[in-house]
Amino acid sequence: MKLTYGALDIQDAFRSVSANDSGCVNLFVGTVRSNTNGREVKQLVFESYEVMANREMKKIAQAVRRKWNVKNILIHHRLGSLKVGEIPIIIAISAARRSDAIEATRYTIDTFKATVPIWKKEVYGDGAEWVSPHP
Amino acid sequence: MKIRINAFGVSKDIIGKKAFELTVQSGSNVSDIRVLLATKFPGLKGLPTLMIAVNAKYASDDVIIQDTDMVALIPPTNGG
Repeated sequence: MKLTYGALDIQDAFRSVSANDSGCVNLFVGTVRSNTNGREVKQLVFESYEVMANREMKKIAQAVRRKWNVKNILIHHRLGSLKVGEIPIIIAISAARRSDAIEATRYTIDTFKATVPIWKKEVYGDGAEWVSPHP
Repeated sequence: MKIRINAFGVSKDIIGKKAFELTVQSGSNVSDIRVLLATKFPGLKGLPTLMIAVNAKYASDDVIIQDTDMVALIPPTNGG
């Protein structure tokens, strides 16, 4: 689990969870998109309540281990200002079987968005707005 | 007693600052804090949800607040 203001590294995440006794690694990589509802986005700014965010991320990992047979779980989230195309989140989960890794990843990103105290503000050419959650 | 509250995301913009103090009666719970906040900052009522965290944990309405607690306003989260 990591919150960082530095760039996230997909290869590093992959290597961190990869294991000889696991048959797969499932990666989820979020990227900053260039527009929302037709409005051009220049950058995203992520803010967090870091102590609580770390705690909530650990809770997700614990829940994943109760529900699925997985080997390693990694959640990295970037904070601060990100440009279009940059990576705010990587989730990497290794498991012996792909169904466990894929379902656990889906649960992790969905739960993360709902419970981990991180907020994003979209910055446009003519202003900025906190983004409301959407499914 | 006075409690210190940290505001995050859109709640920080509504209140106009990141941290502030609120005077509450001893023995107040999270629900009492909600009522006070809604009166003082009506803009908070426009949020789809507003969770309250006490000592970095989501707190239900019946949790009693102590003056040493860290209280935080958690508007709808949206990481990832």
